[in-house]
Amino acid sequence: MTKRLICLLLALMTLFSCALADGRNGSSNYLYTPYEEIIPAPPAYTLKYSLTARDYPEIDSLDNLVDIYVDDDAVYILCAKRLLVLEMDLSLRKVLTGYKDAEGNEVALDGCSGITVTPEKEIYITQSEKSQILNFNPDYSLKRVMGRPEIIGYDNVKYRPTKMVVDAAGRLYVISKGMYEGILELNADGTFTRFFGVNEVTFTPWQLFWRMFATKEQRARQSLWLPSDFTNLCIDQDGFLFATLMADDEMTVKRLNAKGQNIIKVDAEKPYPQGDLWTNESGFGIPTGKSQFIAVDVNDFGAYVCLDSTRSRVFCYNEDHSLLFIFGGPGDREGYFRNPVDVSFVGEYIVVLDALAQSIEVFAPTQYGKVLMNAVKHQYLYEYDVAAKYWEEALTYNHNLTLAYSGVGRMLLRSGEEEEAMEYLKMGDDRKYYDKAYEKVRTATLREYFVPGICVLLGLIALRIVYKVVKKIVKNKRKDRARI
Amino acid sequence: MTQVTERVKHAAKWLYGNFWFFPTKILMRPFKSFDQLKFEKKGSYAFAFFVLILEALISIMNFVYKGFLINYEDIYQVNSLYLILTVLFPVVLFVVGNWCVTTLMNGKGKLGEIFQVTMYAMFPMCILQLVALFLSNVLILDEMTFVYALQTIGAVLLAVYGFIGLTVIHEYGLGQCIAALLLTVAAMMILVFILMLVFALVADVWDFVTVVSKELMLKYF
Repeated sequence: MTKRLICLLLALMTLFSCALADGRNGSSNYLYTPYEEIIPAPPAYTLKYSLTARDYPEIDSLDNLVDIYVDDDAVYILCAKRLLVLEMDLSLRKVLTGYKDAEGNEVALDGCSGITVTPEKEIYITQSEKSQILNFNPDYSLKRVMGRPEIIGYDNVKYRPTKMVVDAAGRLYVISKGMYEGILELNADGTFTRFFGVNEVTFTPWQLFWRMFATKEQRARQSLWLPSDFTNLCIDQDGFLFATLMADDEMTVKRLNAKGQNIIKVDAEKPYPQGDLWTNESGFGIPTGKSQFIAVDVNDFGAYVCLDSTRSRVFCYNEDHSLLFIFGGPGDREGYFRNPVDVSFVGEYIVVLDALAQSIEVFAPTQYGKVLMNAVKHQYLYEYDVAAKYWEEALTYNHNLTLAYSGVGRMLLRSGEEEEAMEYLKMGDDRKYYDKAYEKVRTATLREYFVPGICVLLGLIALRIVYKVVKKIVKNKRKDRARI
Repeated sequence: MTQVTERVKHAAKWLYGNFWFFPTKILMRPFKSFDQLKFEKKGSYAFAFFVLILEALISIMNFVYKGFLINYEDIYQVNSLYLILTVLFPVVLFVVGNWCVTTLMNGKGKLGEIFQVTMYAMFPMCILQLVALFLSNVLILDEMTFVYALQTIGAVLLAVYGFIGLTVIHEYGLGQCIAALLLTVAAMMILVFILMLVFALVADVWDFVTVVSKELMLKYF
């Protein structure tokens, strides 16, 4: 009896400890089912620590955090008035607050808005209100100041470079606030080549209908229908540009090819990577409307994180644009943000800059998050067997992970266990591969039963013929008898 | 004993005649058979309601049992009452709307006849839908075109036989019948509008009654 009691107590204790662990760690622990319902998920990334100016005695404040850039051996964190160069473990390497210009005058950094670093360790900093881009040598001395590029026909449009990246060929891609023609593509010497990736203006028929009735004065007072502005960009592992934009539709993140077209293509039944699928449209004191991505970063196996400014959440997608996990949210608590401005991968960590809290929030993967990321990584590297093992492990943490079911199912299909594969693929809502598995199963079944089936059919036909013949004979005999 | 066998025989004959012979005869020779339906009272209400119930069941089965490959519904969220209404409501609306219009346009068809014709015309669609439902569980994605084709053929058959049947029972010409059908659509819209109005008004009245009763309760009890 006492043994049983102890067992019961222990069971209860484990139960409650699980519940506590689940509730305390992480934030925004949910996912979406294939039917776009919200289901709880275990936390994939939880706050490890948050860094403020107090953690760096060399600097007095972290005000106006704007941008983060991570390369293979350093983390660059940009405030409006200073640049922090950190080691990969986020300890301070160098603070840059000013530079010597060509005449040898000391100039303080001010109004910085974006940073990028080339593989040769050259640093580019955009200063949007000063309409210029600063280019530093790897030793932090000024190399050149790039002013406004000459763009014919745009003399009266202000040039405000907010964010930029440099591609492998040395071309500069600059977002200029208020230039609606797209991202500016500049040559390495700073001359303008073209606008890139323009966002098409879209109207609804309803808007056009109302515009028909508007008078000239009304039309003049209406806001202009302008293409949406880009807000942030990064270069992914394959050299494509990922860009976020202020858009009215769900496409607030785009992956642009060399022609400037969006190459994020998802199947008809899958949602576009757009953050929250269910959002409240009205309410008091709560954020309303759809998610609006303002920052994006890609890691070296195609998984990308997007920062939603509407609800301060971070969404992570794999290279197939399936949602992996969500964390963050608005608030003062641990793991929540007050005004997040940028997000980036640092190794396996994810770092979010909170401008209002003036802090650098560092998130580390939980065991579940690690397994998930490993599965995605090996799937990206075409190592499906290894990936499937991680998917299976992920399923022990989260039974509702559709992606994991389809991952395991695909592996089973490859190893020839079609029937089990069908079961997993069905749970994974993976119709494309279910189709392939089912085709194989059906062919095998047909092959097995085709010959006996045909035999039975032929036998039945033969029986019928025999029956008819016998009947005829019997009839004829009777007739003969009658004649006799 | 002989009486019982006699009864069973009679029932079987009735079943065969009403549920198979006449409906399939309509498929072969629609003009003549619809004429028989009207003037020789060959139509059966039992069969008409059977088709209506069958169609309602098929709409539920299409939600739940359609093959996984083309079924994008969350089958655990099935709402059978809603699915039944999606069949029942349009049928009732069409029959009533058509009756309203054709009475004004010198149509000779009665309400019951319109209902019977609609249901007899729906019978081939039901059968084809059942076949499509079965095939959707057997075929792979590349072959699903057959399923969609069957469903489309069913819808076309419904339109064709319905049109022929209505022309015959109302004793209309071709143009007249098309005009009547167009007007029926308008009538259906008006009916929906009136229904919405009625529901809104009833809700208002109900609100009023509850508020008054609440006030009385608070004042006197």
